[in-house]
Amino acid sequence: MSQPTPQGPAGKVEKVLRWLDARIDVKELFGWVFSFTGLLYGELDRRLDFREALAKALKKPVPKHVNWLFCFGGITFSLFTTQVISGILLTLYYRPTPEVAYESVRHIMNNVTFGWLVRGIHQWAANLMIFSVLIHMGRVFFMRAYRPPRELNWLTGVLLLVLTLGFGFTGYLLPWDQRAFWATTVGTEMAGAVPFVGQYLLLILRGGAEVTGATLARFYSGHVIILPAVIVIFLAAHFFMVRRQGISGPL
Amino acid sequence: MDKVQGELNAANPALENPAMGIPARVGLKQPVAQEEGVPFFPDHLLAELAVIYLVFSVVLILVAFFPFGLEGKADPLNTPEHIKPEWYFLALYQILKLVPRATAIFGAGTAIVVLALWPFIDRNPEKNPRRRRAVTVLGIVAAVALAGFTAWGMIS
Repeated sequence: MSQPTPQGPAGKVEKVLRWLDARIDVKELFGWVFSFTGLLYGELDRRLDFREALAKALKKPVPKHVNWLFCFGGITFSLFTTQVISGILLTLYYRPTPEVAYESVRHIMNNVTFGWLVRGIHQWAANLMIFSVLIHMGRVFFMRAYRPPRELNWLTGVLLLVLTLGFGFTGYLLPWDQRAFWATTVGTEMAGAVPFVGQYLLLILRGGAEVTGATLARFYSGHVIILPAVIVIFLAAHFFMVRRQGISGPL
Repeated sequence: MDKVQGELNAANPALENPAMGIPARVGLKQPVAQEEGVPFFPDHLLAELAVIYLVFSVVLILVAFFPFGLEGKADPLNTPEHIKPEWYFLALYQILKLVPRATAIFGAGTAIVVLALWPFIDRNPEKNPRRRRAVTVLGIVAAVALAGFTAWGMIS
């Protein structure tokens, strides 16, 4: 059964594809490639006996009522992963002192190979992450997915929102440009307005009376060490509860 | 039940019918997924990856066409005329301009605490939106108010 072959370059491509198709069984090829994973998987399973647990975890069915509105939690996590990777790359060149922070960001933007891209990804993914967190939260709220037994998962979700905003607040200062400096000055002033403890909170946040290199150091520490360590714990709890309790039912 | 398992069972009717009293486990693993829906791997994961791919392309388009840039180096002695926080703090910033500072901060703190404890406040098991109009309206009012104050902060 031969089909008419189109002429020109498209015809050539189709000819090559047909030639390949006649000789290579894709399924067999991939089966052959994947059989090599057994060299590692088989050895590990022999010692740890996780085959059944892994199959159960991977094959766990996703309920039928799950539609595109449910994807914002996953989008948030994928953006979080993006932030981890691009953030680690940025720390390779960024230097958190008031003397050179600004220059190091300029260096990233102008000289470092693809530095502009990594920084751009970090900034945009950060904004989109907060946006998708809010959509995710709205979805859970309007579908009443917070009802028992999922109260604790909602609670960790709100904490994750606060932590995400903390990431945004601390990260905004790091470029040490005019916008960063004055937004942080005003932002930390807000903290100073908290009843009773405001003045202490302001001193703790700024590391002094003014926004200085001390502020930059602790915002950097918060952004790359303290907040990531805390958020990973709550993310793990959040995901464990989703897995354990399943996705909430349809309306 | 996956395809291979199905074929094997078809070859041996005793496996397909437990009532025949022959143990189903003869070297074959029992199929794991019995609940409704598609398995997470690979079916759902594929859909998830497609969405992630789309999100990443949006990120890259934004990076390429709308870069954030960098302003002049921080100068504590030179206060710019317009100071604005990031968009997700704009609503709070705008409210702060309207009411006394302590009130606004106290209100924002209370709102976060109420939000965190919301499942313990709304204990009504009914989730049909038509019978829970008050909660839906409350949510919409809060969302619209936040969006409104953010937009106001953007243009002012």
